[in-house]
Amino acid sequence: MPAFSLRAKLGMALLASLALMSSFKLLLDAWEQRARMAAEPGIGPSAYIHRFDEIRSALPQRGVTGYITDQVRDPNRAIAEYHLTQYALAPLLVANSWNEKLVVGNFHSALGPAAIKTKGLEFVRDYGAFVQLLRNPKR
Amino acid sequence: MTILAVLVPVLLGCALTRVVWPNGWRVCRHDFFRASLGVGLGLGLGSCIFFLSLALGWPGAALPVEALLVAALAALYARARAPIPCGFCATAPHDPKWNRLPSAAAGLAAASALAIFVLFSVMAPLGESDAWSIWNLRAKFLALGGKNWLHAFSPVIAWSHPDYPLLIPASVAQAWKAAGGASWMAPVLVAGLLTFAAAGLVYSSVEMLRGRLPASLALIALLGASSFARNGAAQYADVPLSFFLLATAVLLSLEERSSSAAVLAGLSAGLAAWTKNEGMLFAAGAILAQMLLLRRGASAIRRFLSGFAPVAAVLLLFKLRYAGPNDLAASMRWARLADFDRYWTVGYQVISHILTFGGYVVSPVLVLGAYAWLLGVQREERMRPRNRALLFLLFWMLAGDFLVYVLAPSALDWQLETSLGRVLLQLWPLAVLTLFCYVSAPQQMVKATQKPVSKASPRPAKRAPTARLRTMG
Repeated sequence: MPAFSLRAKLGMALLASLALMSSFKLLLDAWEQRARMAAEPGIGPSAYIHRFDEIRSALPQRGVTGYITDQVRDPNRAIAEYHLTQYALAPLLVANSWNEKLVVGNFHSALGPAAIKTKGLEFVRDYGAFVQLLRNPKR
Repeated sequence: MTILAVLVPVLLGCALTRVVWPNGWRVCRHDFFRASLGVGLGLGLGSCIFFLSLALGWPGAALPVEALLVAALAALYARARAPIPCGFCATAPHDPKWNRLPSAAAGLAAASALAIFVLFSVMAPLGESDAWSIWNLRAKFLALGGKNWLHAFSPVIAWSHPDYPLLIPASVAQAWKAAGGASWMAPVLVAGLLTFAAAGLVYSSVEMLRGRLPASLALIALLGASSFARNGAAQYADVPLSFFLLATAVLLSLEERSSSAAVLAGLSAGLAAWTKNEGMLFAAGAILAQMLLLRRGASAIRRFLSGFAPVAAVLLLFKLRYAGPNDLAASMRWARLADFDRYWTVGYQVISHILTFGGYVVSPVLVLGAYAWLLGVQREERMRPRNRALLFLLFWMLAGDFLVYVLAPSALDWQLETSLGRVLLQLWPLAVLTLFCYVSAPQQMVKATQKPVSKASPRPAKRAPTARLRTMG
């Protein structure tokens, strides 16, 4: 093995040790995060989209459906949930509007549906986990 | 079926690199380079073929076409009469004996990165928000939309950036279509392959250009930015784009050794543009670098363009016929060029992000800066056209991204906060390659050691070389 100069050894040791330390730090953080998630199942996008498994079979495969939610406190969360709903129901298009014939109701409590009565939508069916199919009689 | 649908384009890329740089029926360490490059080029080519098959109304034709191409390349290779030896082996830089410690450290870094990727993929198999609201959402429409696949670009989902190019969505969609459903496996596989192909390409290209020891250190430096593996698992397009930026730069560096490298460099630059819109900026920079810094002649530029043109044609078809308008371009205002507050805001954020980039425990600027200072930069490396071209490409992209942010919409702080880290990540593998091309290799800093020769026992005379040759088969 060649005898590297002191500068070369120092440079290599510094780079390798700090880079590996950085990598292991994130690995440990990720491991802890995974353990926390395992203790609290049912959260996260992949669990979220399964709420729409049943309603998907009731909707047409393609076309456009509407969307309504009672999530008004947190606009960022509301957008994220709408995007996830679109992902769950694709290749059906989900317009962020109740101005379609069929409307997917994505609610967070039993009080949610009551909040949409003013929109003039009619209840069709409940699919559990506060997911409902609604109809817009004006369309 | 998912695995097969991902494997076929990968094999296509690997067959292509093997045909371009043959090695008979032997295996050598440069096959790692061929494989790393082939993975990305193959997935990119496969995505182009899949998109074209949709556009032509033959959605099931893509995989059989790719399989036929693999068979054709294999037949072409087998027909070569003379087993051509590996050209890279003949021109490899002199390496000292195998250094176990740096190699072991590189192995640890790779294992750690793999574990990070797996953990984050297990925690979030759908990736993060851009994955399910842009890239994989598009893939779902392409794969499962049937005759209505064009709904992928509907104004109803204009928020999903329907102008974004399709390398990732088409690669994932091809696998989903073959499998008949949108499982978690395809996007995770595609993301994983491109992430670790980029890492493999950093290692193998530094090994070819500088030697094994710098290659191990380059890999450690790359994966020390833990956000690299993490962002790969997020299933965004930034790490895949970083692969194609790196691949183009590596291939341009190899053109002196192989004229075919220019064609593949053009192909890679085209695939960069097919991955994200920033790739178009990079492709322009690659052409400029060849003309101004590498001083390549017209024939070399033509070879580059011959590789670039087919993918550019696919991209043009997509942009003209299917893609929606680009919201960023639509909201740019040239008047913002005169707003110096924006320059200050963007400049400050860029420097802050660079100083804290990648999740390093100590700023990577300090770590890599100290490494560069300790090992030094030799004058011949500073003056080498290849190295200057790499540096030019880095600064070209930084300048271009800087300008885009200055011209970008009014929510500048939000734009910087949500995207600047990822924009820098796109350049990270290229930055690591550039650094290790400039900085002296450790084996160039070996202490001269000579055993003292005793006066009492003179050195024995060397054996005559001819005696040895006669006994060799």
